[in-house]
Amino acid sequence: MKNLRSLFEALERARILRPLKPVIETVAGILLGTRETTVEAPHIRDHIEIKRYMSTVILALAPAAVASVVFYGWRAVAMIAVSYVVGGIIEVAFALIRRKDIEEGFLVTGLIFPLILPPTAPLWMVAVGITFGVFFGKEVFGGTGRNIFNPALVGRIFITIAFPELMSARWQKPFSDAVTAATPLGLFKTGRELTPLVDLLLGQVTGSMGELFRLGVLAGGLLLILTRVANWRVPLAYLGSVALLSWVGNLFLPEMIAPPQFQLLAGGLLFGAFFMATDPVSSPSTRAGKWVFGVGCGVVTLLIRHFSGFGEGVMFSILFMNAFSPLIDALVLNAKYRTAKV
Amino acid sequence: MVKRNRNFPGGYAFKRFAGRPEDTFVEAPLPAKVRLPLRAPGGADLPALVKNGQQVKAGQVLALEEATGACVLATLSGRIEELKPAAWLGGKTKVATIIGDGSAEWTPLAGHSPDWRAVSRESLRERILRSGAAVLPAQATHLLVQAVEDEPHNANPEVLERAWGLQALVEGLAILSKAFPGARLHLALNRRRRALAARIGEAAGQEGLPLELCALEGKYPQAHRELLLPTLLGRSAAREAAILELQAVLHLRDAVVLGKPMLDRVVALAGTGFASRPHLRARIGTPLGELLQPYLRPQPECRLVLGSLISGAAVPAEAPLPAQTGVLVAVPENREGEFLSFAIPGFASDSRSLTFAANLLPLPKKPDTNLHGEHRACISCGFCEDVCPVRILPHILHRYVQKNVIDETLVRFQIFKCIDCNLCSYVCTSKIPLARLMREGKAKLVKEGLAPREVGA
Repeated sequence: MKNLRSLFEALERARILRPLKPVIETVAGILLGTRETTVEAPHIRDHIEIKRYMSTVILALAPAAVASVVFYGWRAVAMIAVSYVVGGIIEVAFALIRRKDIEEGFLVTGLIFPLILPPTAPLWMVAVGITFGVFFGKEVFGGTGRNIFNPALVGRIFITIAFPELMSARWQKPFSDAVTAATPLGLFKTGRELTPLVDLLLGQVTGSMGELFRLGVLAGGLLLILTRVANWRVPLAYLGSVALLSWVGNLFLPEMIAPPQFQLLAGGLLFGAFFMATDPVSSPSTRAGKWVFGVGCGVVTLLIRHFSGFGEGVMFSILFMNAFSPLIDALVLNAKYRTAKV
Repeated sequence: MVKRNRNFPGGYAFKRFAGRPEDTFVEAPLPAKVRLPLRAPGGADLPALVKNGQQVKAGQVLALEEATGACVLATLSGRIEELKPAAWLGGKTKVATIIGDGSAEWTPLAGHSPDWRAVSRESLRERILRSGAAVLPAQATHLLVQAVEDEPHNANPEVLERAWGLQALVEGLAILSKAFPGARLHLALNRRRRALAARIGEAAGQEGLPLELCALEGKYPQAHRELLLPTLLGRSAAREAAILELQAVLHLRDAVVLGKPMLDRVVALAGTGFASRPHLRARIGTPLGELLQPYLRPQPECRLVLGSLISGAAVPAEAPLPAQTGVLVAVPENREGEFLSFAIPGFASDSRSLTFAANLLPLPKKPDTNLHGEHRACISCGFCEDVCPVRILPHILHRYVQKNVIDETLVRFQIFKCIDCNLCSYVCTSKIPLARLMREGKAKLVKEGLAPREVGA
């Protein structure tokens, strides 16, 4: 470790490598950790850091990511690789321009993005989507911590709107080459057909790559909540409101609204609720705000699923609610401190 | 018999920190010299009564403020070698250096008589004050004695019990009760000390002493006044409550029963920087370097912290042992970082997030001074909000201070509820010095006259 440290110190001193300083510092930080110590009380610090935080998210995403590779083979690997490489270039470019460290949040965005794409998405589109997402979803706001929207969702929505036929009509079941326009949610909308729940859980249906293996998504989501990396309030409010509202809706409008067990497992709901709605940066930061946000996501998801031309509403609902997060926080703060004596 | 009390929201239980004080008790040898800052426990400098070169006896008053009765006593018999201002805990104050003459004798407190039950309560209080054992208010409706053990490292109250004897402890409580007739007497202990609580309860019962025992969870910052009062007494907590540490009760008992001024202090040595960690009885003012030499490991380099790793001050080895400290921590300085810290299992890492093995398995955690991560922008993970014991929102407040937006909004968001417990800084994922920013914000508000009346005074 000492040798490695002196190597990095030499690299940082090298005049010729000065423009690359943020990259060198980041790599040193990843490998060796920080040398900085506390200067005052508290003299000790919690060992959690953004790197650990983000790597826990990646660990939680692993079952879904591995399943997508098992289901779609090298295509999935290629999509993830393109997303990381292209998005990484943009991230590094911005770090160099800003002369700041590379932000770890990208490692999550770069993995989530390919996982919410249809397995048939061409690689150039992956590149276009992640570029747009990282650039307009995050960097123009000033980087991680300052973005309003979830960057992966921004990229996904951009290519959904730009290339609708490629993004919504070309689905592929795992282990099969047949391309179809039908998803479980679509099948319900057109023919009241309920896909068996076991198929949904194991992912033997059409859908975006990462959302399919729902057992793994659930396991990952639970890991995030149990490790306290993701706040439990958002997924509980989100999934709970979808379950409750669709149960009520199914009682009164059984022809239009699918029963809750199907709603929860169909489409990208689980993946969205555990991995995207929980993004701490783009969701409200107050506790009460998180409840409002989760319920809002649930309501909007159901509205889009059953009362609009779109088949699925998870990504729109989260992005929609992201836009309201600052407002929700402001309202929560006003309510909380309205009666406070000044 | 033992009340189980309500909890408070937030807080953090520091569990299984390596380097806990051992249950041993050691008398430190008489020091060659002591250094005594002439400053009251409250922080005010006291006028000196002695001159350079003068011979003093242990127990003699070195500095006194007539109005309040606050005083500093000589803790060693000998000659005053030096009397001049020196750096002390972030400020400057006059410090007296006494070169010992080798005698362990001390002057008894004036007017002492062993039959304290016959003494009036005014003179009881006078003796307590003059002994330096405790500063008590003129009136109190509640007396809270605490040994809650809410820090990563705590002194063991059972060792104090052994050092003085259970009888002396109960006697101290009885003296307090007599000095404040009508006041309710509470003793707050950690939940783990059931046996001790039962012993004290039984002995107090035999004395006919009305003592209310409370078992608390020991979650930091339970021992802070702002949390101890509501947890013990409820929301409508009387303002006229005095809080004493358990050790202060033992010293005031010695003052009243034996006429002995508070010359020494039992400090528990803690932290992995010490090879052995006894509870050490040492004269107040003993230079720490001299006191700790036999116990400190030669490696690694350590930081000495008074009282608490979370809210205590770091002191150099030349500093004297202060009169108020119960724990001395030697925490290793770590300027090297950790290899692949984001991926290691973390068998000795403490974290509120459950992402390290030491939080899931019964493994000891080894604290050091490393930041364990790089500074980043706030991602609103909400950890600080979850641990905040007074329910304010450091992740919102710090943004205002960082941008230097110091206005009524901060006051409206109740920044003045902050009790400087430092937990927000401890848990921050992005290593933001939240507690320092809150302090800065409060200081600037006070400076601009925007603080609410009860704070600004």
